[in-house]
Amino acid sequence: MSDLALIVAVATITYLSRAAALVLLPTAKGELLAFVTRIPAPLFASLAVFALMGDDGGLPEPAAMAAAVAALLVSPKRSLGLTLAAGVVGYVVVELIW
Amino acid sequence: MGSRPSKLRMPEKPTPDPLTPGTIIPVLAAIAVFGTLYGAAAQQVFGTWLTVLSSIVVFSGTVQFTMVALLVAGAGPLAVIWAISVVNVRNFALGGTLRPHLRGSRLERIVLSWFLIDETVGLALTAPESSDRILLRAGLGAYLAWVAGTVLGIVGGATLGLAGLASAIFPVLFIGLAALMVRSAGGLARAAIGVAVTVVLLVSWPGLAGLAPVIGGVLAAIPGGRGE
Repeated sequence: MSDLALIVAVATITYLSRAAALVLLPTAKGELLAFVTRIPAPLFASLAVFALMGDDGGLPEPAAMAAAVAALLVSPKRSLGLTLAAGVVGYVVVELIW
Repeated sequence: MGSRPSKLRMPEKPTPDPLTPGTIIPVLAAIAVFGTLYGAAAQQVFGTWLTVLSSIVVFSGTVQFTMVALLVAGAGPLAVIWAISVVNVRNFALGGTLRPHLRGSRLERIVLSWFLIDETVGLALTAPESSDRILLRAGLGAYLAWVAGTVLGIVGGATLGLAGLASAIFPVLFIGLAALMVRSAGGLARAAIGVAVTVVLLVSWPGLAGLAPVIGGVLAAIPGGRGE
């Protein structure tokens, strides 16, 4: 399989999984709706851990950990911009002193 | 004048519009930085034009980095396709969460599907009454940022100095999105459970190709109770 064919196959699989979720699956109602409404918070928290540790479950770099901790500290403010800024500051500070 | 006032209610704390510059620009910047890293890395595998093409037709950082990482490690096409299929399982969770809030026609949802990525879903869910609009506009911005970042990574190959920052930005981004989704103690508890399950999975069974956070997030959402 050529690289071009692989990229096209990957693109097709990716788009079909998106379209299936938004177009083909029925609209959730009742208990199912309550369930899917509960998904985002734990899903994004889980994605944060995944992005931090990687697929091999390794320990994150100190600067990356500092960025995450700084973001967590300001997260109660519920401001994405502030959270990102805090994360960058945490990263830079540890990079400078480590 | 003269009409009886309705019962007073404490107003809910409004969620900030996710399309304001202060919110959307950091997100797009993070995506562009990640795209830059992808461009620099993928060029070594695909060359210039196929790297740009991959970002144009795939538009998924997780999928594209997984694809390149596997190819660099010597995996064959079938292994790559299997891994990509597993990674894309998360789209069912993301789409299933967002779908009840979309009001557009079937055709409009076919178009919007293109923009179904972690970041845009997170932004769209912060204002469920405007999910279609946010998914489209944030998605367009994210798409342009991703492709532009890829091109920048190819052109300015010596961008490895950004690698550490980019790897730190995405956990921070997801923390911010999770914080926007948590509106109660129950939601906070579920986020903590999701984190715990994901950590256990990553440590116990490394190499799940991106499935661990999907399992963690879905398992944490199973316990009853309405809302997040």
